[in-house]
Amino acid sequence: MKRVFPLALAVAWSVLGCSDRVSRPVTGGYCLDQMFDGDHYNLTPCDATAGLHGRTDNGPLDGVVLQIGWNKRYIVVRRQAIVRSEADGWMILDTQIARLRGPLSDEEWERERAKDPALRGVLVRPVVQAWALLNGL
Amino acid sequence: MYGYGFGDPVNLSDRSGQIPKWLRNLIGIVGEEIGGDVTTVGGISPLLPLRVFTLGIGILRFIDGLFGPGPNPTVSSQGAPPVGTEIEFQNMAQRAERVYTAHTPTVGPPIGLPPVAPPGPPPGGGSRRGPVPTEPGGWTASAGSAVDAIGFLTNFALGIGPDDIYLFDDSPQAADMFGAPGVANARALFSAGGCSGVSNFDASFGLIGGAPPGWSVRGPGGSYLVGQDGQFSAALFNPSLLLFPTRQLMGTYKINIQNAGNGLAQVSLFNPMSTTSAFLHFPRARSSGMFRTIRFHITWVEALPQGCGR
Repeated sequence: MKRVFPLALAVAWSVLGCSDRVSRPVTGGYCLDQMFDGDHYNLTPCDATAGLHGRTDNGPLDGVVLQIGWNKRYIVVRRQAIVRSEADGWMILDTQIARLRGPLSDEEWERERAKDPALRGVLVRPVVQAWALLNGL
Repeated sequence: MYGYGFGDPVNLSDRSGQIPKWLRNLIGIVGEEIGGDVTTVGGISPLLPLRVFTLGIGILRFIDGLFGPGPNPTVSSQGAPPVGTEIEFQNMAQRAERVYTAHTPTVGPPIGLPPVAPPGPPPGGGSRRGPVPTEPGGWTASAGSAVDAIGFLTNFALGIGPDDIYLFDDSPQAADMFGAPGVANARALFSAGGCSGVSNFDASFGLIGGAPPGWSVRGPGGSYLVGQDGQFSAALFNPSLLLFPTRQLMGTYKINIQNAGNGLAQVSLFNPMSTTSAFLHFPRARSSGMFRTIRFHITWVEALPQGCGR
């Protein structure tokens, strides 16, 4: 024990500084991340270098995920913006052509949904439910 | 909120009608520091309404937390003061002092000067030191925070001390984090957004630092190979470990910045230190015992960035 403790202390000291983040792939190379505080989720590229980038490490949405739904092509998220002066609302990520639309109001989202049959099939859930689904729960 | 009005007496007495000695001592410390009567909301000095009012509310909140909610809490005289009581009171006093100073710049010292009294030891361990060296326009990190970092790490390894550690403007940890790349990036975004506020801004910490926000590179597990801050920076040595141990402890953290009004912004950082983050993301976080998770909350108030409406 006398030898183990300083060793454990030294190891912990040398590698501390990372953080707890759990990622689950959603679709099209994007992951849902449950962040270390357990109360906010980000949508980020799963790959180290590919995918869209935002102005924050919270991902291309520059916001946290409140609700999310997806199919093979689209990821639809209702976000809360990181910058408060920016609008919250619906973001549509087309993973096929790497294009992001939004933020959209509820009405605008409904209109987009009505126009595009592929979006119509997207079932949007609260992020906690989606997280459970991605974890097979 | 607490059933008190401005100037109402605060009942700090126990069931026998006496103020317990430990609480009297603490009130003495706080009263000396703010130069007012802390046993009434609003205090007795007409010259110091805001600082004493702030402190009065702080005390009520504190007492509610300790002894249960209610407009007229009864203080227990049993046993010793709860662990951390003195520190909490001192922190409260210093926060009140800072708010007061910020609101009345012609009376108090300018923002950025060290607090009158030396800060108490951080709740998680470490030793008492002098005030954080500060200067207008920016804080400088204190090498003494390494001592605290070792204390925190010991608490983490042994499973002792509080699960939540709250640190404020007067702490060397706040000074360490004040100039961290993640904080600087969040501050820039806050400023670009008209200073309305920033919430849940994730500041990544990787093996290598220097990435602009949004361009961090994922590593294995939940880690970052390249982050906004990191073990190694352009200077190719380890500034986080050697100069800013708090940045090392915090790792990746969450930043909220609120416009507090009156030309001030409140910056809050949060990060849990857990086995997952400490040991290369392999083990699960523990809630008790050795290497259980310790949550760091660091908060300070600073001047709004230039260009923001005051």
